[in-house]
Amino acid sequence: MLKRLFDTFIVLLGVTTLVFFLTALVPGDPVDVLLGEHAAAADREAIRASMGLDRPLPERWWQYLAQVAQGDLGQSLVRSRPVGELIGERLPATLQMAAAAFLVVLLLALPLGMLAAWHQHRLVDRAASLVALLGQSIPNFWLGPLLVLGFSIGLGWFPVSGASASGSVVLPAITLGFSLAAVSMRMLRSSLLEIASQHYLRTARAKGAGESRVAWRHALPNALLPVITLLGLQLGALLAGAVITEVVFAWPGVGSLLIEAIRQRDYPLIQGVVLVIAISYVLVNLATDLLLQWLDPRLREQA
Amino acid sequence: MIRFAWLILITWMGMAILPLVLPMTPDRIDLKAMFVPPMHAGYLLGADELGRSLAQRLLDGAGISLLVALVSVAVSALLGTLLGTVAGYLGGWPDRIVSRLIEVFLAFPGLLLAIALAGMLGPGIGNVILALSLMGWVGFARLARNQVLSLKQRDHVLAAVALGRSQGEIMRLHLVPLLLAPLLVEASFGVAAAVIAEAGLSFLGLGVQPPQASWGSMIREGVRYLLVAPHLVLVPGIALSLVVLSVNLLGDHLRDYLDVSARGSA
Repeated sequence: MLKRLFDTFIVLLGVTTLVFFLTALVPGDPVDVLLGEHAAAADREAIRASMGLDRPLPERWWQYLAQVAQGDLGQSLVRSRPVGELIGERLPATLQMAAAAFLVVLLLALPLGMLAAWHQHRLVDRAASLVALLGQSIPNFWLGPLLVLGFSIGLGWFPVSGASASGSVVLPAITLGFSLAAVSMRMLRSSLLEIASQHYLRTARAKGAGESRVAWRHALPNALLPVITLLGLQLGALLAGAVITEVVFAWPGVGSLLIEAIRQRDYPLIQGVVLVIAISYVLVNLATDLLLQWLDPRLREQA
Repeated sequence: MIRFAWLILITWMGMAILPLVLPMTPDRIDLKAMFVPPMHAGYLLGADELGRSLAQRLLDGAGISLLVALVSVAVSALLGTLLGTVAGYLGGWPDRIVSRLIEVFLAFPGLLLAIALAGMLGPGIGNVILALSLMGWVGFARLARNQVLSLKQRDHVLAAVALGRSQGEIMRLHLVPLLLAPLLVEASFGVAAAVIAEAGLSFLGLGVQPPQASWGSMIREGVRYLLVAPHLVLVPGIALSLVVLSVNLLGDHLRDYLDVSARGSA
């Protein structure tokens, strides 16, 4: 347990370091963004000094770590406001979309995965594997416009983009959740099928438990464990996938903030958004591990 | 299914090569042909908002996606296999460093690292390849390391050690050849991921720059005209999905054929 926390700390340190060194990749100079390329040399030097860019790289790295550890993500170059504040304003919209997408995943993956396993090789199973194959092959920046074409332009059920109208979260949530739903469904199906041959199910039947009790009480809880691992891993991927989905639907979240920051070459803001998403991902994974230990007595004994 | 996948892949490669031999004018603007639908006015797949031929732009995009996918997967595979094999075989501090690096890179979910890198480096096809390679090496490194960890206790490796082979020779001659099957499977899924990633970056405006066409940038530009000319989005999207689907099918097939069960699982 302590080792897991220590490992997480090391990874967070590494992630912050990597995000810091992203700036080293920037061709040219962040000062160009502020002053333009034709600014006087004296002005440039003054700005460089005030931003701390004149100091050596290791010192700036150390300072960045210390700053991030205090929750300070720096100042936006373009908007002259704290990066943390800007992200904070956009975060609720992203979380709302991710939560809705997660709901889509659960609503699609759980019933379809169970149906597919119980009717193995039958029509439902084949339909489910087709859906899964499509889910892995249709990228979200194409699925989004397709859904808009069908449900907004064609049927007029949902708004084309934005977050203000009611029901506007539906299409982004499906767009974002679809591929994850497909993978989770396959995972649940195969783990249910694997468990179907286990002895304790035979024992349960021998004790006189009905088929539905065997399925719900004995098979499903165990089959869900690998699915929970997968969902935990993928919850962070939802946050990353949200970047593209937010751009498709002009959703005012952290992802579209990242793309705006990239267009404006607002490097501290880019670093801040990337860092926040990566850190959330690491923490979600930690939480998943802890949840699994709590759910699965076998893991608890190992720990 | 697998024949269908091969057919699509061969078509993809053919499409990528065609622009090299045919006289191409994918950037020619013809305002009389604006938004011409497929199979009209001599345009096989229609024309876009500037009257540029969608078929020719699709061919152009096929070349970009193939080039980016092959180069970035090749670089990732070489770099990842090298680091993973060395770390797995030597153990000790090289292994600790590589393992930590793998963990840190894995902490960036999905496309996030590629978006950040491409955003920092600026747009352009070279930067896309660089960003995807820096994102892709981790999968290969983790796979190679895990495989080597279990392979290095095999008898033939121990025999080679006893015969006094150097560490480099053992890795090159006795370990890496055994990694090829799982690496090939990983590479095929890597191609699918790279095709999606290139299109995704171009969709975000971080990939190829106009007027050059990529399937992702075609979707990006077409979305604005979804109402009047849905074929602008449908044509590149169908091409993209068919290619990704086929590469994935081929990967599944290879995995079964080569009997690779554990795909890089830790």
